[in-house]
Amino acid sequence: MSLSIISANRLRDGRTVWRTANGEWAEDVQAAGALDAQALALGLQAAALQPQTVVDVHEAAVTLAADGTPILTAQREQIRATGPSVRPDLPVSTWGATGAALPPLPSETSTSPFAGIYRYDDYDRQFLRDRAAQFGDQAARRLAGELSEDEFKPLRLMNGLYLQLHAYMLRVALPYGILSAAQLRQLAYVARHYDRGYGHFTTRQNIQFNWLRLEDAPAVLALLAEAGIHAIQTSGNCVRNVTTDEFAAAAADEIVDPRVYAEILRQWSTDHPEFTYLPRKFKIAITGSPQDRAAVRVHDIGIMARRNAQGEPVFQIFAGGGLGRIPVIAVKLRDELPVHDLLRYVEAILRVYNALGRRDNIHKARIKILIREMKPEHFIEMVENEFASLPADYCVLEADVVAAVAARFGAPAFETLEANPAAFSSALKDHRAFRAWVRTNTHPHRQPGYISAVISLKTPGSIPGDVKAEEMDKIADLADRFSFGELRVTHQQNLVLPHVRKADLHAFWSELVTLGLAAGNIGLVTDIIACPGMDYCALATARSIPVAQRIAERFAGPERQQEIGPLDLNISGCINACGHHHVGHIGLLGVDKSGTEVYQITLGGASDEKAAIGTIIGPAVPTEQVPETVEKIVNAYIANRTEGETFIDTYRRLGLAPFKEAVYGNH
Amino acid sequence: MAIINAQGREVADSWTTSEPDAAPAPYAIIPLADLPPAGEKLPAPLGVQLPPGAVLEDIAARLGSFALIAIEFPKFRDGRGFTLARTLRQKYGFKGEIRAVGHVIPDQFVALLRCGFSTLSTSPEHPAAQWHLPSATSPENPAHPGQLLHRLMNRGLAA
Repeated sequence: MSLSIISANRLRDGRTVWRTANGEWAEDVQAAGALDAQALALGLQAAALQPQTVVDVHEAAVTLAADGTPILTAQREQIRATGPSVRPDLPVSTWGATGAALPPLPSETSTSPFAGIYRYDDYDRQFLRDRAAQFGDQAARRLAGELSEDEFKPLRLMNGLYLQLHAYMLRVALPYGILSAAQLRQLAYVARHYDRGYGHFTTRQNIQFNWLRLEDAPAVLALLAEAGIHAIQTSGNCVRNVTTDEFAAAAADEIVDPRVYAEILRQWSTDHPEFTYLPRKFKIAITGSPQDRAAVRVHDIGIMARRNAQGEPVFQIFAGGGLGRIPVIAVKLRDELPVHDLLRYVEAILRVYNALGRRDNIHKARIKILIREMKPEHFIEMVENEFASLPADYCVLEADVVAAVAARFGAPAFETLEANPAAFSSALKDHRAFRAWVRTNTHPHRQPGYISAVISLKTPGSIPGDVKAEEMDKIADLADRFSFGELRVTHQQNLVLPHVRKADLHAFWSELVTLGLAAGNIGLVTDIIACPGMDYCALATARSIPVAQRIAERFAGPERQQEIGPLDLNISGCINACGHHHVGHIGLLGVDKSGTEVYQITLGGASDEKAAIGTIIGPAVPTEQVPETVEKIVNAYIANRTEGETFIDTYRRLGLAPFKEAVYGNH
Repeated sequence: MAIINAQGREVADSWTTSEPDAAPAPYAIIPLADLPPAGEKLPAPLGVQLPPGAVLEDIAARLGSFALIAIEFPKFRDGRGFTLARTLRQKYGFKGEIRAVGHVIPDQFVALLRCGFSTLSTSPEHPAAQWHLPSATSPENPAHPGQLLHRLMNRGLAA
């Protein structure tokens, strides 16, 4: 006889609960009553009548231990009952809300006045406060039964609040990945007082808190508003956080400042009356330089700045790229869109998509499927017709508008410095580890004497993208001291101090060494992009974090990583591809094969200007063999590479064969 | 059901939804599928009800004969009706009443108005009392000048 128990998350705080034999909801899985098929049906019926108490009511298969206590069969349910396997220090328990008075907000004393964030005015601040209050009202109406869960869900998602395995998760927008030290302190405050002491930086340059209580969410949004931060449109079927190059307004090779256009797109898309209930989510990326550091060809709309024959900045427009179940490289719609037409053109694309995108099948609702089903030529024709029929004065981006938005960013007060100060040269000469770190973790700055520096959140053994509250505070101090109080989040889940004086770089690096954040691995094999996987995520089918940790540990030696050279290794814990596995030079996709986690391997993916979707190399390998298999692939590359040839170039020259042989051949 | 106007106030309503196969009468809202062929003499005033997937091009030439266009929302998450309304106003210059019918929720009120809806038909789940505009000083109020971009473009972003 098959047995089940009934599980759910408690509505008000998201905590996992289990239904007992007498119909109570218990916090301990051991208290759950094991049910046969008939009792299960009755129990589910009864639970369905408690929508104001619990959400996501579902059954979970169990067997019985000798003493009669239920043992969960599925790994996902085991993780729900115990907590993330990668954080044994954080078992499932009731957390937060001790009732103690909280200390003053960091925003009361910390402002980072020189950071290059978009400066809000009174209207913007009031808007964020009102949005927080509005969500408080929506949550209250949900708790009171005025809104059904079906109606509330899109509203909470539009405010960044998901329900995950263990709790609600709040995804906070860091618009185009830029934040100030003061804002990072505010985030640390949330992590410390409303969550369980940490946050997770994501591939959309956002931050997620994993243990938010629904009843605390309005207060958290309100306090974030005081630092000019929000969670608007970080989820839901709307235009999401626009992403850009992490070296924006610092990189030497930039044509336009992409922050300005990303902010214009943010304001245009925020609460857009027409495009807030799209067929599916919608992601826009923009890069201001001809080198694509924002993966624009795998976005719903990708925008790339270039110069036309007259030397004026124009935009190349792509649409229909994306990862997920059906990875697609975007098609090009325009080669030289004038700057003043940017919003009009984006609006035309969205209008065609909103009218015609599929709504009958969630897996076929993205714009990439519409474009494929319509054929790109027809889609482009429709967009062009829509664009041509817009009123002439509608949504025109005049130069004075762009200039006024740009003026809100302020410019860092760069000093006139020597391009290569002696202190920097001698530090490079004297410190081998520093030299290696500079080689991988810095990027040229357009201002003489300055450099952009990347703080790796991928120290081998750590969880990619996770940062503790204390670390946030310390990184904020470093940003204030070394980079005008400004930081960036990269889509590879690292942090950047964009404007460091070269003469100070050694001092900065020494501080990172003290903090244990000086891994010199940016762009190398251990700089792994990984989604949270089944340890946190309700969609995941595999635990991606432990795999990332094992691979990073295997290649942890700095010399070994340097020897291998540039290599993007991306891991997703399910087909939705949040870990961008399709565009990793080596991509790993965790799937569940009759109850066992296995990993499918792809090679040859890329997200830069030579964007490509990786090719599956062969049958999936068991999880425990993944690190060793990656090593075989890497060794095959080293054996076959020519002088100075990178992994991806060797793959492009030789194709799959030598790697396939290394992984599956008889050795 | 009760009809709400753009101020969130319940208003008297003379319109009736036309029964299938009934002859068109003044103040009837006829489903698009039942609309008599172009050229046939129609009573006035007349309304038409569009399904969310309606292709406006097909009826563009006849829009002038309608005093009211009702747009169906099968689910509040289905946002096609917003594009239909905005296109009616912006591309076709429709000046009559545009009414939202079906599943819409009070949280969508402002967006509906900004896309050009003038009225909506309420449901038992969301009765008239739940529909009200944000206060005049709130940034969410459609009369508010908006964020910097909207102010600079003089609401050139609106319909």
